[in-house]
Amino acid sequence: MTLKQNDARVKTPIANRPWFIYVVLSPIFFVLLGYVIYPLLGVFRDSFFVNGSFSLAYYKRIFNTSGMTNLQAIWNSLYISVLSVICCGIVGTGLAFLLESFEFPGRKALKAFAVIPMALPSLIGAISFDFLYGSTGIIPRGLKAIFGLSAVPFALKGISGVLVVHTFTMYTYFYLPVSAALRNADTSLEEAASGLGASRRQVFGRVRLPMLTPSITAATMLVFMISMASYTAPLIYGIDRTLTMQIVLSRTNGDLGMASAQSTILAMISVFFLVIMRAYEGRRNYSGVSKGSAIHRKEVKGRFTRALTVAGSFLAVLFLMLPIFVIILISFSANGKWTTQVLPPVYTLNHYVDLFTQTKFLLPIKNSLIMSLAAAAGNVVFGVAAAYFMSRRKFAGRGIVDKLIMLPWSLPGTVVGISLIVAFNIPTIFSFGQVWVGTYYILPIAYFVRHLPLVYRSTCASFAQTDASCEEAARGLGANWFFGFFRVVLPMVAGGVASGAILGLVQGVGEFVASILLYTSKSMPISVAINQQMYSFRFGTACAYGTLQIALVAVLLLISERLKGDTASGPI
Amino acid sequence: MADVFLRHLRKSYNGVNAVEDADFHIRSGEFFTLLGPSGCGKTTTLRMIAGFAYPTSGAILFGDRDVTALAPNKRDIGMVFQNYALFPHLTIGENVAFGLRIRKVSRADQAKRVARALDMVNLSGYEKRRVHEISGGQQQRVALARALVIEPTILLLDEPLSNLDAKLRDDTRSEIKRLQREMSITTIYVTHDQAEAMAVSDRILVMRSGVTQQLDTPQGVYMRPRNRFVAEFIGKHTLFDSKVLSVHGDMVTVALKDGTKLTGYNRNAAEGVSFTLGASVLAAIRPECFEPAGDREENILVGNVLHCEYTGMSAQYLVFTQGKELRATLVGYLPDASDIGRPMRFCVDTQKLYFLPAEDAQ
Repeated sequence: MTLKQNDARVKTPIANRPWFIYVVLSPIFFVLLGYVIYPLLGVFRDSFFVNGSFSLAYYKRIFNTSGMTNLQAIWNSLYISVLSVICCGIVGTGLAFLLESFEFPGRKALKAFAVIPMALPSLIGAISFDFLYGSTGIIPRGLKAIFGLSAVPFALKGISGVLVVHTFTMYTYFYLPVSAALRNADTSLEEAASGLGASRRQVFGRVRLPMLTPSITAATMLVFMISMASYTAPLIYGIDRTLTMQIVLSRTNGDLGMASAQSTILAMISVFFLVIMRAYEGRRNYSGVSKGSAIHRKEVKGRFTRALTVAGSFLAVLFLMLPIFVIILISFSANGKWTTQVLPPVYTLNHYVDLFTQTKFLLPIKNSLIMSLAAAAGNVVFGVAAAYFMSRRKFAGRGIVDKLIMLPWSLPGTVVGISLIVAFNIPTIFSFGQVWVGTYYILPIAYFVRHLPLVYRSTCASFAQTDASCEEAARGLGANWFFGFFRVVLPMVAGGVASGAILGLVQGVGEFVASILLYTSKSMPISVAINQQMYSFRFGTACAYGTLQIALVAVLLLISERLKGDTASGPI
Repeated sequence: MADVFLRHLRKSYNGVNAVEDADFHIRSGEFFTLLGPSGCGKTTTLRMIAGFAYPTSGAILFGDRDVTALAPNKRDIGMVFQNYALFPHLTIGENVAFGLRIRKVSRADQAKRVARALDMVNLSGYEKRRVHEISGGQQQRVALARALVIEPTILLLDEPLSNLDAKLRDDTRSEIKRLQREMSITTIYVTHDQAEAMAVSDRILVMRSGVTQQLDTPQGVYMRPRNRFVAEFIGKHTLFDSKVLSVHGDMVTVALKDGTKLTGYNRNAAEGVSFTLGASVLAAIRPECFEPAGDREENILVGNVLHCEYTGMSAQYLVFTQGKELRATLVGYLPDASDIGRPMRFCVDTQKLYFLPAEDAQ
């Protein structure tokens, strides 16, 4: 050992050289570059070019005070979003407090049904509310008939309709985190505060509310973003002057540059709120600071009040379930026979028979299933690979990769749709030299891009819970990388992969917003078919499709629940 | 079973050396421990031996086989991780059989060897259990069985006891030592706990900031530390600046800063100590080097008693002297509660006073 070997650098295996990780990651970078960065930059670029030369014409038109259409659209989008946040906040937080602080008969049922709106595809939610509470809706007409009124006593229309639908479909974004925070809240903190002499009001204001602010703030941002992105509810209630509606209108009129400019504005608002939300998320999180006794629910006493709570819970559950009931009911009604009656007068099974026997009706179902599955499969491959490298390897640029994966999720479907049109209405290397707009491929790609982070996030969560040294243990015991990955690493995160993939399928089956911009007659998905049937007043057929959509979502969610119960390690 | 040679091993991350010039030989069948505080490079060294990290320069040899750039799965090692790293989706039996399955051992043989390995760690009949159904101590033993069942060339243990509670730690420690002795397998053990290292090791390598401090037997590192770091980290020595006052034959007398005279033997000195008159040396005293002073006049250290704990077997004093705190253990001594807050005389055993070179005082 007299020989000094200090200068001889060890030739590490190629797989362990610092640059090798980037070779392995190149497919991930390729996907992000081609389907996220390039399309979005395209939108941004197109918004500044008129006939090939730089111009601010689109923005001048948008902010032109004489035309007002676009300014009004921005204003409407903003104020619908603010009101949606307020309504969702009141309903969601209120319900969370009600269900977590009081014990009453009917509580369990209400709790179980409170998350139903989450499972409802957006188009179904909006349509069912129109059927139920619109000016020709079942409830207003029913009340008019029962009480012999000359006109319907109330009807949801316009912006109020949009708000109610938003509240119904989005209050869960407040309800779930707030009730989780309440459940996990450490009552010993509140006891400590009262022990220090705080009154009940002070305990609430100084201890309990501050503990809830992180979840409430995050929910506020989320609901605001989703409301800004909402397209379905304004479409059903005919509010043309929102940003999303204007974007689709510009696109329909063939003015892609204008659609790009409007998309740029909408995207910037969304990203702005995303940035605030994430900054806030990181800074204030009290969960798990202390572990204490669970919250003690106060029992509701007195026969009268108890009876009242039963009735109230029943009504609330009924209200939550009515949208699904009405869709199922109308799915059996004959098309064109329901005019001024309260309920559809003629019933038939024909719609379902048609759906499964006529290729023309079957096609959208087949399309939705195949395209969602294809997108979910892509998401699994991409998400697992990205999550593995992000969780288990260190490399420069991790932060950017994470943000890029999250970006499409935070962008309105309309913006994603427009960006893909801008990107792929010419041949590119990312579309393998093809024009994808107007072909079948663009929709699965859109689903893939929109749901990019679903598998990624849930798999990352699984990775965070599993021990990194298990992979090393496998290697130490003689397993090569492939054996270690497929027999040890993958089985350990399988729960997370599955739940992410199922969530992707749920979203894909119900997808409407990007679909309406990108579909062709060959790739028409269920939601677009529903919309078309509605436009031609074939409500029965539309609702038969809707029922099928709900059933698909329900089956997927059941599988997801079952998986969660089965895996011992527990995925998320 | 094999000798392990580390030749001028260096590992740097972004230009910072995590391990510097590690150059030593682990003998076949030896229980060898890498000891040091966290961040000293001991785990990095172990991971390089296992193949989970590759050295920047230098070489690793198992016997005459150069494994420096070999993938971990081709090294034939058995490794036990700090957090056990059992596969949660497999049963205990499947966990232990994992390495055998990869080695294409027949099913019947697998079952036999798994049963034997589990028996070895006193977990017979646990094959069908799930990982989360057994306790931490049992998990650690399963990890050990999984590592040993493949009869590896080298057994690597990365802080295997740090997640166990004190009682279990002692039991598992002797269990590991027993298995190692029975199988006489070359074992490399990483820990930050010096008592643990002393208890199990044949030899200990003390590391600090990536640099080897001393490689010696447990007695060697404890009784004859090479420098201030080893003296303080292992033997809990307290060190005093002093000057050589007189040398008589093999007896050396030094004076501390306040003039206190201490006498010891010149053989009890680290390499590099010079006993020329007036030279600076460090006088190192371990807690158990003291005796009750009684009416003796020689080798007396006086200090203010800050605290005293009586454990039955001994009285443990915390004393303030020469501007620092010192621990003194008096075996079989009955302390007096009124000692606290008062000056007290301690006698230093001439045989146990140890000297370190003064240059080392950085």
